[in-house]
Amino acid sequence: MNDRENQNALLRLMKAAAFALTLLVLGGAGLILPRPSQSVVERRELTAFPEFTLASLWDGSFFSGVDTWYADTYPMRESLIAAQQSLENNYGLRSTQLVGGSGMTVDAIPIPGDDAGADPNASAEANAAPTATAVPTPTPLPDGTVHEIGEFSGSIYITNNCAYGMYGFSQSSADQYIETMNQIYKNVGDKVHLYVMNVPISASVMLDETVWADMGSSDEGAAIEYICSKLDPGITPIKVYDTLREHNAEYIYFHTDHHWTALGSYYAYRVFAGLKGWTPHELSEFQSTSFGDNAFLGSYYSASNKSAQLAANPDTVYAWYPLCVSTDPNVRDMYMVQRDGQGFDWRIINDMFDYDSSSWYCVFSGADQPFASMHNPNLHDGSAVMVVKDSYGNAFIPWLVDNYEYTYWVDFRYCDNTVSQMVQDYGVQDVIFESATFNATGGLCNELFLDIGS
Amino acid sequence: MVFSSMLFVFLFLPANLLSQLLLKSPKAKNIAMVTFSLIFYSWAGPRYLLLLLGMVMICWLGAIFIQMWEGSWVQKLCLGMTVGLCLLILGIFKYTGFILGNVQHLFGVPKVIPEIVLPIGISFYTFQLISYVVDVYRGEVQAQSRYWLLLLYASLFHQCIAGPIVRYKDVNDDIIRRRTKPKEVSAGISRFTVGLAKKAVLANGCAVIADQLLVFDGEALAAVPAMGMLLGAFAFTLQIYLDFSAYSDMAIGMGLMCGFHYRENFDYPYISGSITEFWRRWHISLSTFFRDYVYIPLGGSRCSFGRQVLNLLVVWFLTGMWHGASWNFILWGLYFGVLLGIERYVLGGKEGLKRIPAPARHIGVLALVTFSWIIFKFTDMALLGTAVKGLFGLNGNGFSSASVSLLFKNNLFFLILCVIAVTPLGKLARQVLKNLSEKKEIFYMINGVWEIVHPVVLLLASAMALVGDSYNPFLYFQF
Repeated sequence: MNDRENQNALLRLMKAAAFALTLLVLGGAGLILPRPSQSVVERRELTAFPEFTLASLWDGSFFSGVDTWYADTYPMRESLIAAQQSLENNYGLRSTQLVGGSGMTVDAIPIPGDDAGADPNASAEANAAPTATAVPTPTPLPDGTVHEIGEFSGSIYITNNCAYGMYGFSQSSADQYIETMNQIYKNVGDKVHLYVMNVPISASVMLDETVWADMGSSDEGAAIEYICSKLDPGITPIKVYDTLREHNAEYIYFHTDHHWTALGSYYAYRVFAGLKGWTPHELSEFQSTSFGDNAFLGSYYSASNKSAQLAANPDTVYAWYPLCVSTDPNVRDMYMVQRDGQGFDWRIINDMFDYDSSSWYCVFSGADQPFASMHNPNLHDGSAVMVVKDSYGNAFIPWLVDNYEYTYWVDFRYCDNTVSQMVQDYGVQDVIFESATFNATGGLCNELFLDIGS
Repeated sequence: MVFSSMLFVFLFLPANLLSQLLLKSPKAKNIAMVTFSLIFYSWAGPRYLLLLLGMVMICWLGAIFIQMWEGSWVQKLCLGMTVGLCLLILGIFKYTGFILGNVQHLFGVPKVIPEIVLPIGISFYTFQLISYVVDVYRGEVQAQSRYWLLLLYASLFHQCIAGPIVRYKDVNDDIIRRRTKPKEVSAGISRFTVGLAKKAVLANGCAVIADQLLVFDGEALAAVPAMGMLLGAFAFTLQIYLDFSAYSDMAIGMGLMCGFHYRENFDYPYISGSITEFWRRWHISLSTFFRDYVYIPLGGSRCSFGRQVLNLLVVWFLTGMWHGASWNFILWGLYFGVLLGIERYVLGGKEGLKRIPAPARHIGVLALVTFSWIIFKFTDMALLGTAVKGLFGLNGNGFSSASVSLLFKNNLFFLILCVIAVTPLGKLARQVLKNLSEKKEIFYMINGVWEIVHPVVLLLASAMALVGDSYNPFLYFQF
């Protein structure tokens, strides 16, 4: 055997050793290292080891479960996913992205008053109902509309290091939602003033309409108009869409999370104040604070599998303390009941530094709880409001609490009670039913609306 | 279990390779191999294993009787019964629902169509067993006297559930007396890791693009503009080759690491200059099976024109049927049958095709093959109609959209990489480096580093891609 053959043999040996060593290290890691049980990035419990039964063995679901468990809880999983994401960031030109695809099914949105079956009188009445108007602005506000075509990552559109979800309108879900609101009005309309507010997502407010239309997204403004046109005339819609678009040059939506900011919800409060005939408080009247300066990476960041573009543009959670609460972090000003039934005092603007940074939107109103309430010590007029809401309502509630002696809020996704019952129990004068438009018309909450509206 | 699962790559495979390394006698190695194979196959539920064991038993006994009654009419009877029984079982599990569904559509009966789960790999191992039985009948191989060795052949996890369709005569020697050679182990490592990365990184990446555009929702599909359909078809064309050939690469690679030698199943089909050439390069083990066991016995092309056409259509009807119990697969098979007929009888075969400039031929073949994958993709005929209309911009939604152009731009470099991966450019570059390494020391060192590093890099890249992807089935599982 000559030298070259010896070298080749050595080379092959080294190759086999390197291959075996890699298998050993990665395989051994899977056996020895502790396995994670939950994913912070994906906000979910990871797959548990399957329960062994003869039936699951026979039908193959046991071993299939083992496969899933092994991969889902692999010790270095999050690092490997992050590495994969870094690799995928080089798959193409990704200054603008679309994450998750555009295979969204949307229904055409009927033009209010244009449908054959509509009652023209009802439509006219609906139009005559009090509607939200923006606080008059003496000069046009700067246009913050994003006109660039961005990068897609999932059903999330990423451009200029900001993420935008896409909105899909479902006619049947919208109609059911409208029916529920009208049913609630029938149930409680003689006792309370019912307001309905649909909050648009950032894409509809911040992006040029040709951009979201090209991405296959529905016209959320038109969807809101459709809902409003079909609501019972006795219901007052809080129309925030146009106002938010007027302010889209401001920081009214997070870049890396699907929620609006406290500033965005402040403009909704001003619209509501206009409907109530109040003079809204100016921002300068409130003491401001901020959390996680340039370190908040929210739900869009997780959903985009840690997009590098979003990581380069983290958010800050700004908040304003209601006038009726102390800024002292030790003073509890609200009460809430968690999903496990446990109730305790909390703060309406609560520092979340002890929590994972992806949860920092939860600084507002105790986040998504079945029930919460607050008493305003500065008022003694017995005024009371109930906000039935999803997570968008959390940032909105702190603006309200100065205007009522009692504020109650329930998250319709977790609340077992009905609006009728709660109105009776708490003696409120106003009910605000807040729902992101995608919840109102997306179909996911149909059953929940039926339950709470019954 | 699938090859592209973390559990397989980092537990099952190392344990299997270790067993083959430590065990010395061929018998011990085979016992270990059949044990691993049965565990692998049982992963989807042991009920399927009983079927596999039963079919191997039928063919084992059938082949022994065929050999025993050589030259007698009983031999033909045994052949007919064995092959017939295999096809009957395959038919029951694979085509009952399809046939009854069509009968119900036409006559309104039966009221209820039984839902029969398709055992994984049944199409592959049935064809392997049939080839074994026929080869025994033809006297090309001796009947295997030991049941468990035939079971090893049919259940060998390298190729049992997704091919290639290995002929018994090709692996008989390896089963009885195989030797692992360092050079082959080295080649096997490269082949396996290349296949794994092809599947985990490239094919799955193409699937992400294709699945966004070729959706199974009628309304959403109709909303995809023409360029979106083209991009989706292009991505799926890449995906299906990368996915399926990756499986064969891994099978061949694992075989080499253990001393088995499987024939090539793909030979860069997308560089073909004709449809005939495409089918010589695509799923070679299947096309040669149909050639040797159906087409030639029917008379092949050495018969009247009418009979030739009939033979062609029969073979391609069966090829389509083999891929799935649905009309779109039959349509897909017949589509290729018609194209091959046109090439042979209208365009004048190989010589006649030379009149067409080579670039035009290649582009034409790619376009026809890409279109075929659209037929292949949609088992629902209404969706298929929408997709075909969409390809030609007839769904009334314009030529392109921002999301399509964005999707393309977001994956531009990745798609270029995939295009390179389906051509022999990588193989050519390797050969150039190898040739240079024999002439200059610096290239020898570069080649050496490449040899050692590339399996590790590909394994890591695959692990990155696979992790978190808990269910990652191969496309060809349904067959």
